Amino acid sequence: MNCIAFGYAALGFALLALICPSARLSRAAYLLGAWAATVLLLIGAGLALAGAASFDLNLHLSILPALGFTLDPLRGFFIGISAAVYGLSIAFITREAKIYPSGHGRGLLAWTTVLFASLPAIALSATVLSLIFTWEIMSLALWALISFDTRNPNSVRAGVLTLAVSEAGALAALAGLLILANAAGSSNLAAIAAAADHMSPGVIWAGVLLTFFGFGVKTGILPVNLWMNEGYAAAPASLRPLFSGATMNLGVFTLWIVDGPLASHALWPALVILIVGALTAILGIIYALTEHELGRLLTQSSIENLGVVVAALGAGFAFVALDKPIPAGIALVAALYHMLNHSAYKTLLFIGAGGIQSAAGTDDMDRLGGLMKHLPVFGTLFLLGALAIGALPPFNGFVSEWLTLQSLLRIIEVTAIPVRIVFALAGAALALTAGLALTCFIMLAGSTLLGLPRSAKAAQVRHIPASATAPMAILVVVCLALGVLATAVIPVLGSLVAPLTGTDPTSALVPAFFHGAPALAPKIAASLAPIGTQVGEGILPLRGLAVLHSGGTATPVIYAISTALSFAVIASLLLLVWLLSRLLGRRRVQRGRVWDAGLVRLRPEMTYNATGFAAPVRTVFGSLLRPTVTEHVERHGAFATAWHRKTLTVHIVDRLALHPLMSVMQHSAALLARMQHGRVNAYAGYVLMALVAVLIAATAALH
Amino acid sequence: MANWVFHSLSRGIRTTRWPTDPETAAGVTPGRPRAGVGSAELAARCPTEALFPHDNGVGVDFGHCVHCQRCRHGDEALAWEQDFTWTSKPEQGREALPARFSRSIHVRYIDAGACGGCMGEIRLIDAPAYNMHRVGIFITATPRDADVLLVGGPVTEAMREPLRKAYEAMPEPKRVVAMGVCAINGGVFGTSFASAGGVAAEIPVDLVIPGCPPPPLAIIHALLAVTGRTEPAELVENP
Ligand code: SF4
Ligand code: SF4
Repeated sequence: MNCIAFGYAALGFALLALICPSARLSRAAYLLGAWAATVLLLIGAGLALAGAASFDLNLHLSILPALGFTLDPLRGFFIGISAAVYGLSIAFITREAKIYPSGHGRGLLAWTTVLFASLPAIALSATVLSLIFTWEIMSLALWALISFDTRNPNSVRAGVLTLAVSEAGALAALAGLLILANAAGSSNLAAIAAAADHMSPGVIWAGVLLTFFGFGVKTGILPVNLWMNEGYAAAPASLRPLFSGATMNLGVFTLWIVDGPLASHALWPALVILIVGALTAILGIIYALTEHELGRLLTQSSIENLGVVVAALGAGFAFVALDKPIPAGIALVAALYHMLNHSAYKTLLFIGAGGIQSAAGTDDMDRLGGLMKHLPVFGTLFLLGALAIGALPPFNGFVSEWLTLQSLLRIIEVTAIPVRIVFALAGAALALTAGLALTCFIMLAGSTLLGLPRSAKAAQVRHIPASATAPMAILVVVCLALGVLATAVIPVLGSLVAPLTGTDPTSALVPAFFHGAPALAPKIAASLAPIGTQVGEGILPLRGLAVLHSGGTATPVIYAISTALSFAVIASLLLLVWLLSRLLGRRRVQRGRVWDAGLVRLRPEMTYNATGFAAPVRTVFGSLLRPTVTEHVERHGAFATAWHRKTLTVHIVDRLALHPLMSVMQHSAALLARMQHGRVNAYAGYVLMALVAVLIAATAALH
Repeated sequence: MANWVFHSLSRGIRTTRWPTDPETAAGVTPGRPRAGVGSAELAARCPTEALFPHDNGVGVDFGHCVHCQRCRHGDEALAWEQDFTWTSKPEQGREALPARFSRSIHVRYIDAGACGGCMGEIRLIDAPAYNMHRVGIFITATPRDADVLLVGGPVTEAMREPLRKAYEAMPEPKRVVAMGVCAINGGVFGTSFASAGGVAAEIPVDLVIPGCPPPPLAIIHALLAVTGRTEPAELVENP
């Protein structure tokens, strides 16, 4: 409580620092305040996670009754992630704010602070009112930051779309929350959760759908993510780490807090969440592959990752509804794990993309290339981030994707065929997503870091500021640690999951090999000992190093992995090879020119780029993407001198939802506009009619 | 449908066993003349000036012979030999690749303006009858992985630079085999504004394969000679 209050005080200090006339002093003081706030909030979150701090705060203001806040381990977890993302990206944001005129730059930082301040507040909200109130602050701050560059009509347009979608979502969510509060007889979120098992199916359906899609605007689920592509692209590049790494998680938080208890009592709403999540994931990654700008690609990939998280949550809720607490716990742990991982590597990649954009003046991968040559450190960090998000071991993405898929496979414990079909299809979609994600991030790393620079500015990049590389280095370490020490992370997440499922899944997922008898059949435990499950016992303060789950006697399927041991094996093998090559072989390196297939003049535009790399994917999913192709041939007499070909891909949500909606609106607006014809008599008539209508209504109400 | 199984089994293995066993099947080589007794008229009969008068008869410079067989028939015919172990080593050619290459070498072929005849023979060394893999010869897609550069054609103007780049792109140790009379000295194309008149004008050549085109077994013989598994022959034969 104290730490969090002091954290907010530090944020206030940071805001005050922006008033300071000296630009340098103001920036330094702002950073100091921001980092102090980060540290304090992290401490507060850590204490809450450890169960050492919790509070309930009810403010009774006359204009805002029942504004309640509370802190528990789960909320601490979300606050911690937000604070860490903010703390890591704020130095880069502050540096990039310099490109604006002084007043503007300070405005940007002020709005960033407001955006960040709203995040822990959302995670602390205990009542409908405080949740909506803080949520709206976040929405407005997002809108302000997206349309920050008001001279750019695209930003303004994207801002308006963002605001419209956010507000529609917030209204839907508010309606849903009010329905639920009415049914529960209390506006306290905990009371709503507790009343979930008495609610009628109609209320649950309405509540889940309205809040899921309403709050889902920020999580980026289909179809309400239609603002994100343009919105994220319009926002200053330095802010995208905060958008993607922190604000998206709060949608997961509301899903957990509001929809979790409801969907845990109703199977089909949970399955809807699962289906929507899986569809979001697969569409997100397909669209990511069609993009050739780093920012847009990473935005679509965020949608994909959050889709995976939402799908895992849906699976977990469904398992709870099916009365399978252990698989439910595993799915929910996978969801939280994936969300945590996404925050880590997406912050890393977005900071990297921002660094590239500010150094090369573009984030179009078809104009970049060859950055690894002059920026080996930055390039390595960016590459490792791409490996992490591509779900390659030993990094963190692998563990959570693997857990998600495995938890979906636990559906074999359920006999209902329709549920099994839904799970199987969702699992297939997520598996395909994982494969496409790897393709996507090979493309990302390959086309930015390798090959020839495809523009003059990209060829001149020699330096990426430390405010970008230092956080990236920290995040690479975090990604590696989250991947290798999975058995240290899972117990923490397991304890967060327990209140929802009723059982802590830790013992079913991380057998206590280091502490006496693991909760396994003795035969299995004994047969695993020779391959090293006991390695590290007594040295490491962990339950074990193996993530292992064995089904019951009816479904005795075991899946097991030890990220730490496999990492140790891989690392020592690599070390051995390196040593042997040092000791035995003479190193003979020949440096030559780039092999260009013997072309007399290799031009950068002739090399393989992201658009070319993703062409097979675009072809395979062509019927889904439906690009509009315009071709235009310039002729000189009988000869074609130039051939222009332009492909425009409109996102499927825009095509199927936004564009029809817009045309309906414009139609009705055109109809209404007929009332405005300039005849004063008719206007007086309208007034009269309105008056009569009001009088009739008032009379009717009186009787 | 399943006929092919029976068919193949009944035909047995047709792949050549050379170099373990001799290969004498008809048509594996066009053959070549051998130096012998003859007059200056015989030498003048050769359209490519491959024959030259010598004190004791007529000598043959295989670097020019295109197997036209004009010296094989008529009076004063030269002896004709159906062999194919023609590869020879020019003076400046480097020694064979070290022994560790003797089981497998990777070859990159470059068409530096060949007429298509040489290309056709190259394709045949991968055919079942010759099966280059049985003696550890592999074709790579890029000179970066290649140990041997096999070049056909007289090196046209447009291919000078690519040929040099490909040679530079190869890792040491590397060897170059010039294939066909064109690659040796320009052959029927000679030297002109459009033709360098042989591979040696652009990059160092370690072995040459006479013939226009050299038959598949001659190519295999050359690629074995690159690693010292066979001995090269002489390019010029005196009577
Ligand atoms: S076979 Fe050869 S040597 Fe004889 S005439 Fe023809 S080209 Fe000349
Ligand atoms: S050597 Fe003969 S076959 Fe080979 S490229 Fe030259 S002309 Fe053609």
